[in-house]
Amino acid sequence: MGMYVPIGPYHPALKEPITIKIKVEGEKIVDADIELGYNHRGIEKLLESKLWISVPFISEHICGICSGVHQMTAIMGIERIFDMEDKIPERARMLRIVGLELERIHSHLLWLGVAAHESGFDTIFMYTWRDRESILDLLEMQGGRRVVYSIGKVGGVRRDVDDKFIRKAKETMNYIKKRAQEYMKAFEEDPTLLARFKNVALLPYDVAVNLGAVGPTARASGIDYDVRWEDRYFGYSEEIGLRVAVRKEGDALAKALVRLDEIIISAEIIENVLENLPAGPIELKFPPLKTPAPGEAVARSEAPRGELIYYYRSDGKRTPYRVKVRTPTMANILSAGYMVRGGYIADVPVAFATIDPCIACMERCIIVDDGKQVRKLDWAKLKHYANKWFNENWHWIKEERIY
Amino acid sequence: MIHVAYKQGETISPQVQNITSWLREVGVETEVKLDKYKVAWAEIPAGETKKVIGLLKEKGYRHLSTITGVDLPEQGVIELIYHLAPVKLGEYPILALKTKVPRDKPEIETITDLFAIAIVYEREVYDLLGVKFIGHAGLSRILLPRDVPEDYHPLRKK
Repeated sequence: MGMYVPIGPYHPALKEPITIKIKVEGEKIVDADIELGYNHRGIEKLLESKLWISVPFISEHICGICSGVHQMTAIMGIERIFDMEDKIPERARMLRIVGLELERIHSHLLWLGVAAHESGFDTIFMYTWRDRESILDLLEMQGGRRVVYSIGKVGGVRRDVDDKFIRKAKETMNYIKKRAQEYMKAFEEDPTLLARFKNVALLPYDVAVNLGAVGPTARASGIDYDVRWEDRYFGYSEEIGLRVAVRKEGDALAKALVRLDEIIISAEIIENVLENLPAGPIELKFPPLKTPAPGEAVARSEAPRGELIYYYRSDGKRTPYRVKVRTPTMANILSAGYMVRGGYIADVPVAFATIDPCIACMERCIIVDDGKQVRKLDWAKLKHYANKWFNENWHWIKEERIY
Repeated sequence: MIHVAYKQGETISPQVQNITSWLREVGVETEVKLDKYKVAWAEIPAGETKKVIGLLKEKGYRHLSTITGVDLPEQGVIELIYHLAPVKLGEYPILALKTKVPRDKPEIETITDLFAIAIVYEREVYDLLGVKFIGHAGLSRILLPRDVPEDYHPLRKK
């Protein structure tokens, strides 16, 4: 006899509003079931009515955090449809990499903050979000806006960078690398964080393979798979400092450390790229009403949260015939369900924050006790409950997790 | 021969020839083509989907990226594209495996027992295009609200 705890439909840790029904026996979660269906915006259908040149500017609104990678992947697919991918100027490709890696850093810093915040460690939340501001400033310098920055466009990038940007970016990268080391130390050594992150939200290697996990979620379970490494799009290579960060433990701590590793790798990539930025044009002229030949294209890339894939079909008109987008959250949904199983209710905020970061806000959480007695908990109360529960059970849970 | 619209590449790599011969082993005669951007395309009959994907999974295509559905009213079919990615398989390209189901009776066997994540992707295709996956436990809407009419599938063209 368990009881059901439906969490959602609004939740900070997932892009889409979502309901996760968890079945609990006492404090232990024995089963979890996921329901989507609250936020379908019909962007795929909308894109069918847009000119090819406008598609990237709509698709970047799919996500507010990783808007850049959505735009770049959309562009990659369109350039394949128009058969012009190999003609894109080298400088434009490198500036795309700079934008994408800046975005990865700011997304991971945001996630670190949220994860620390959910475990009641607000100091790290404040620090990481302060550091993230410096990245947002750089993105503003490069694209013109702090969020939804439209760095790329079909044929190249929108804006060139100047010496001031390069100088400031190098300074910031130095700073970010130091900060990332600090956070890594905090996550590896601080007993409070260890108690809330170590051996929580476990996702073993074979389960992650089986459930099709992607991105840092998969890499924290020992899956050595990164689309940047596999596909080498835009000129990603070892020469610019690309490495794949992998951890084997599969718990929440490993997911945090993988993301911290990636912050450092991304900072190194940006430094290398800006050091050797090739001169030349930043775009290939692309007429707005150009029509492609009928054809199909697949483009995929490594978003901060994992593999992102676009499919285009053209029937020779000014607008796409079909656009398909698969976001990494979709691929990680089943892993999310798996990870809360076997944990405690008090781990739910951390476990969910661990799976996928987003700034959407949790609206409500209802606890239903076998249909007889109904209690309502909002997110703040659930978090308060979680932190209180950990305070009370600190003595044994610390031993269970750390030693 | 069904018309395939993708852009043809000039190279035939040994990996693509291998894929063709794997498919021949299970009795599926099809042409696998590599485009310029390292995506291999192949078309197989709808009845053979599960067998072929099972074989490809054994051979190393261990990651199912997604399932795309495209409505083609002129041909009277819905095209399903299984996007498979190789994991630690060297130089193999990602694979877009196409199959077609009739538009008036869109039914195909599920692959949820091969790839667990197909549970999500098949529900999405069912939701937006109305393709029924036989054998899928709990095939229901996933993205649209539950109160839309049962026969309404927004990505159908007409």
